[in-house]
Amino acid sequence: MLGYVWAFLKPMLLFLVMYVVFSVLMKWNMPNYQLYLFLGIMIWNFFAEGTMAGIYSLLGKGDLIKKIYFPRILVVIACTLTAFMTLLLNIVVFFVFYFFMGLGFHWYLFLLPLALLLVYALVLGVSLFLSVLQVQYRDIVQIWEVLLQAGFFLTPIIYPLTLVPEKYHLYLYLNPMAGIMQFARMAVLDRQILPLPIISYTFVFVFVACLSGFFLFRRLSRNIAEKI
Amino acid sequence: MAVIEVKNLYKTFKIPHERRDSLREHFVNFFRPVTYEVFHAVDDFSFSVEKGDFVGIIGRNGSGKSTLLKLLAGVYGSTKGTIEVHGKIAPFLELGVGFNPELTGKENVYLNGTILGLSERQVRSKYHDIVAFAGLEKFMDQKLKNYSSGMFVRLAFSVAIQADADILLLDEVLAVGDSDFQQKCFDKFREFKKMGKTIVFVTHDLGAVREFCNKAIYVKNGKMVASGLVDDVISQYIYTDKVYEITSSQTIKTHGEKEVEITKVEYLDKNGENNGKFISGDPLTLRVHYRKNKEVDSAVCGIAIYRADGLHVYGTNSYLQVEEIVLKKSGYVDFKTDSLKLLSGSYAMTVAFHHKNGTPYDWRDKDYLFQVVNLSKDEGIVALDFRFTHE
Repeated sequence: MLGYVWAFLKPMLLFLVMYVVFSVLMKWNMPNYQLYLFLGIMIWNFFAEGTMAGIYSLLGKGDLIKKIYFPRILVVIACTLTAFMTLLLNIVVFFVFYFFMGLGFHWYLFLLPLALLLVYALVLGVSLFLSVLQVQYRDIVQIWEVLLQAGFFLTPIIYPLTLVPEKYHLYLYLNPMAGIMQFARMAVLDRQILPLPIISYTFVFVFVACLSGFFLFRRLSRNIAEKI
Repeated sequence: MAVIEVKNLYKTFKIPHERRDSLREHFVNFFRPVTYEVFHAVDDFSFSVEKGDFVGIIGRNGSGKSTLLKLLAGVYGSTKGTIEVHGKIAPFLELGVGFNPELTGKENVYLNGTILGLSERQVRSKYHDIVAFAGLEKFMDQKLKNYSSGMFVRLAFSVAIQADADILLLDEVLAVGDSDFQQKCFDKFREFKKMGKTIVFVTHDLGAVREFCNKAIYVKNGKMVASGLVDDVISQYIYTDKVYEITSSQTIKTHGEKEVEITKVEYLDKNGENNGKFISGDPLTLRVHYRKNKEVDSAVCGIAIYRADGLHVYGTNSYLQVEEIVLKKSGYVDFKTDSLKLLSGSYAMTVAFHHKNGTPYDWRDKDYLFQVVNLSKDEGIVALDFRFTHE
């Protein structure tokens, strides 16, 4: 329980800081900006924590891997699922705010689970890919941290997409997290569906990431015990 | 029916001369290719284990025994070749896999049981057996970090033997706990044997191999040297494994003017080969080569055996047994026994030529070392052949 409190406090704190900076100090005016920001930070936080947990999963459970056989993929799944559980609990908190702020139920809400599954699949794919590489190249995680930092700003999390000139949108959506983020928030807050080409691209990206992650993992995890 | 079938199994490790485990190092050294040392840990192994077999794998440290076990357990992937396993395997490569020191003994039993493939219900039903076997009833609610290492191992072993598997892979786990607990373990192994479980067992304890196993595999430098019946394999292990070359101790004390010089001392085993390691009860011939540098009017050759700590175990000389020996220009004298009645240990041999009045010609004090391996569980220094009967 205490573990969850901490897991919750981190995105909450980030949310408060961002909210104060952008809403109060910079006076951005946007309906439901708090919820927009809150949902974005939760999802991004899961992506960041999930992939970090995933990258370290094989090394962290090295003791087990070196001594007993089990499908190695379980370690990655278990570590990312833990992060996913935190996300789900955070989503519950989000909906408490959501209804508290007077927003009502609508059918588009059912698209959110799809978005969450999508982001989990992406986290799993990336984790599978990077966890086996991390065993061989111990500085992968440093590189990934930098990428995460950049991703935080390249993904519309703190700023609304409308702030970005239209001509750059296409490039922005190359980042699958942008698609997922917009997909989730447009469904929940704007009662809209992301344009189909972008959805398709995001789905295909996630699918390919998962598949290639899986195959690379399967190939490299065969001899993982001796490399840890 | 073969439960484990290994065919042409290879495991090769590439050991880089310089370890590069980051992208940065690979990038910086882009134009310097990585050079490897190739190490064949398991080199063309083929064998099969039948249901109910108790197989002992013996060999020196680093010979590939544990790698083989890890391959069988699936922890390592093979480089080449196939392993077919029919049945559930419980690998005990190390005890207490996944034990968490922050959890209590009880929680760890559940955790470890799960890792060994038991369901929660199975662990619950076996819980009392486990605790009773470990003898830790009073400590189950304590955190594992407060356990002594002996308690830790006992608990781990007790969980491990409950694993519901047809095939058990054991890596020297016998060497745990006090003698009481070891006895319990051995009893458990006998029970497993009776239950018809298949066990593959890596150890240095040749006595245990002889007692439990019906098959043995002798591994040397990654090669399977011998496999088959236990006694044959053990005897090959001891008599062909020439690690214990006859060594000279570092602090040689020699006396004498070398009128008669000892040029070489050989220990011949039952195959007539020079060796430094013997099975207790096997024949041994001690052959002392000499060269006569000067005419002497009397010559006696004597030997004395000391235990490693200096205790004088035995001594004899040619004068006590025959008349004086007539020396040639060079030649050898033999001391022969049909049954080396020493128990396990390292021994030092003093070999000397001297005048019958005691003046040494060449006296090598505790210069030649040899080892004796005892396959029975008898204790002490000498194998006195007591046999037990009862009315």
